[in-house]
Amino acid sequence: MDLTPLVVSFVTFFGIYLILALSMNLEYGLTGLPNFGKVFFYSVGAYTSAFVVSRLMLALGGASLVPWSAEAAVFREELARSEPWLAIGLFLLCLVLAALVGAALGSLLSSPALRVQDVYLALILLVVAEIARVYVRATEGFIGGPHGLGGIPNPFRFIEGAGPRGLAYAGLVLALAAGAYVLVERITHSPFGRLMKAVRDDELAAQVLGKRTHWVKAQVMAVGSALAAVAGVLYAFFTEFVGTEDFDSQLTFTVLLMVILGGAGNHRGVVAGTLIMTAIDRFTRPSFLALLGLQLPVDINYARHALIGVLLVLLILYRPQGLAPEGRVRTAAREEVRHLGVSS
Amino acid sequence: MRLRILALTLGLLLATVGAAWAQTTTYPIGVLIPLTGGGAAEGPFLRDAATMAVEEIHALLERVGSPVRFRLIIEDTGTSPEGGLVALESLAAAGVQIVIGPWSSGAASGLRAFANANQILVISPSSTSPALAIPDDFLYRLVTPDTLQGRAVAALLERDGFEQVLIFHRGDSYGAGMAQALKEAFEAAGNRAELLAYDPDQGDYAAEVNELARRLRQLGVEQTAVMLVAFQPDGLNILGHARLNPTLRQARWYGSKDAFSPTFFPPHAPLEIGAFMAQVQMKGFFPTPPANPVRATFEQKYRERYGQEPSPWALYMYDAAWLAALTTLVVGEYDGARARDAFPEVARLFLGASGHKLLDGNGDAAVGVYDAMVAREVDGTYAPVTFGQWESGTGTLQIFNP
Repeated sequence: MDLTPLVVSFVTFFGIYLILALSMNLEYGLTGLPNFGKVFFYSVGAYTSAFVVSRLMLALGGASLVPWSAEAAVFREELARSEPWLAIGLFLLCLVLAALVGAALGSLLSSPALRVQDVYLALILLVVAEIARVYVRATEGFIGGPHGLGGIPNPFRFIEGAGPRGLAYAGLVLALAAGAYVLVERITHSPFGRLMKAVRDDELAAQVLGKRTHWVKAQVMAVGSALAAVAGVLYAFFTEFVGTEDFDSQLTFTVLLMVILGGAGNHRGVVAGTLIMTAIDRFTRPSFLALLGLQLPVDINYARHALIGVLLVLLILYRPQGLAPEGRVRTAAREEVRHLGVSS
Repeated sequence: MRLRILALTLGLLLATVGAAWAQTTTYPIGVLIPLTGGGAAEGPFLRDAATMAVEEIHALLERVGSPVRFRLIIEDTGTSPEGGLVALESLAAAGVQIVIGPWSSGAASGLRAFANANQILVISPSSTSPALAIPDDFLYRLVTPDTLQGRAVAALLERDGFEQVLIFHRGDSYGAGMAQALKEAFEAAGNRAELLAYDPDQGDYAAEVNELARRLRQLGVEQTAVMLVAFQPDGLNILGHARLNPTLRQARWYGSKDAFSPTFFPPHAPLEIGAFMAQVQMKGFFPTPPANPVRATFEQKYRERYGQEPSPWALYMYDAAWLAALTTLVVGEYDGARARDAFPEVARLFLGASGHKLLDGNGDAAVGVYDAMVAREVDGTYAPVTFGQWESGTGTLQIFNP
């Protein structure tokens, strides 16, 4: 019995969803911005990867093929096998580019919307995500339109064996997710983090105190969108395929559920929420039950969705604040520091 | 004394069962089907067909005293690339090296790289996207690509005297591929084809159907055929709106292969949709060979067991399950890489419910015979009726039941 594929799948998707959930927590949990367009920024990372890799690899390899054709996908796979550093370099380039594009789009697209109330902001971002998905699907010249684009080579293609290669990639995703956690923790416990909470709790009061709340929201959206785009890059290089079917709004609400389950405003809670949701998805599958030698009288494929629904209802009824409620900011406020300095 | 006899009997029983258990070798076959998402209506047909095939294989193996058995592990793909990948990863962890499915090209695209890297043989009964026509990979497809269906519909349109067609299609991999194939084939003969795509993930298509009617009026209702390329959920909604539209009620309609699946007809669909399809004489093709004994037996058994007609894709799934089992038996051990090498030869010599399975260089079905179908009233209800046949080898369209 080789559990490597299950471990790789679990860790990789946990890492990807954790980055998305942390970015959602930064926006919704701490700043009160309901980003219902989260999947759009995730797709930006995946589309950027598909676009950059498909064009650059064909150009560097001197091939004049249609980037989204089957022949081009095979060409890229073979080129990545023979030139491992090219695949690694392109992966790193995509991470940086996607983060920049995500940040720019996050602040650009949301800045007009930030002047409206939360519910309108949520609707505007939801609509943007849907329009973008439909547009990309209808435009063949970008990532192949409805067919999608394959042949986005895994950066660890040079490692022999699917198992070790998968584990290496899962480790990389987990490391980046840990980095994202450290980043959002530092932001949360900084003076800027206090400002984010002030905007969430009473925006008018923050404005009265001279804080530029629109600017705070735009910055949070930029950071959150950059993180989501990085998650999109990780997804594209893992599946080695990008298609618009994966970027519908259901994913946004799955991520939101992870945040609500764990506890909005608490990053540790979000880690727990993401872990639980990923575990429910992976460990309620017929394959996993087969591993344990179990055979249920009902089709667990349907029961899984019902289980998530029941979990959500129970959560709303008995623990609306989530598994881990929001705690205090761990760093001392400036006033307290000054007070300590005077008294000492 | 009684206790001793009981213990002895139990011991003997356990020893017998244990010996039989030890002799039996069970190989898992992964089944990737859509139980949720856009293809959810098709999933149960595919599951039932695969189950029936494995039961028949077991009956045969038992009769000849073979110790080999197969166990199906059914996973939902959610009709999406990520769903397909996650499902295959789960199957791989359970030791699965041979998989039948997935149903959609999107799910097949998502799992292809993983299947190649982990040497898992994947036999799709129904994926038709041209973007997956790739040689030397681990994905085989038992159905011909959409280019052939496009040529078949083009031939039928020409026979019916149309020089213009308005193709109303799903804006996804399948819909765009099929629409483009038809456009190219129809325009190659000097005709005109216009494409009108719609987003397949919507809940309602009233606005899109109005736009279809407007475009049809511009082109001329009399001289323009309407070709619908849809799956069941979107297709039924579209036809439901179209039957209330005066322009579209006058139009001559054609449909892609899924429009002739039982899921478009009663009892799986509202009676009025079937009535509308019969009223406009909706025609099209399904990649099904002429009746053969294997198909007839399968359809009869399916009806007896499940009380309904199998969907056309169920024939392909039934064959996929048989081919997966036969390939494993030919190889003599459970090995995805060796099964992949043996598969084309096993397929070449196979005649199943969906016909011959000769494969081309990309691992896709090479020869397609398409039944020409029309929606008609049959015994007080509505059903697709075969009225002709188109063969890809010669490109000839034969009408035998006009």
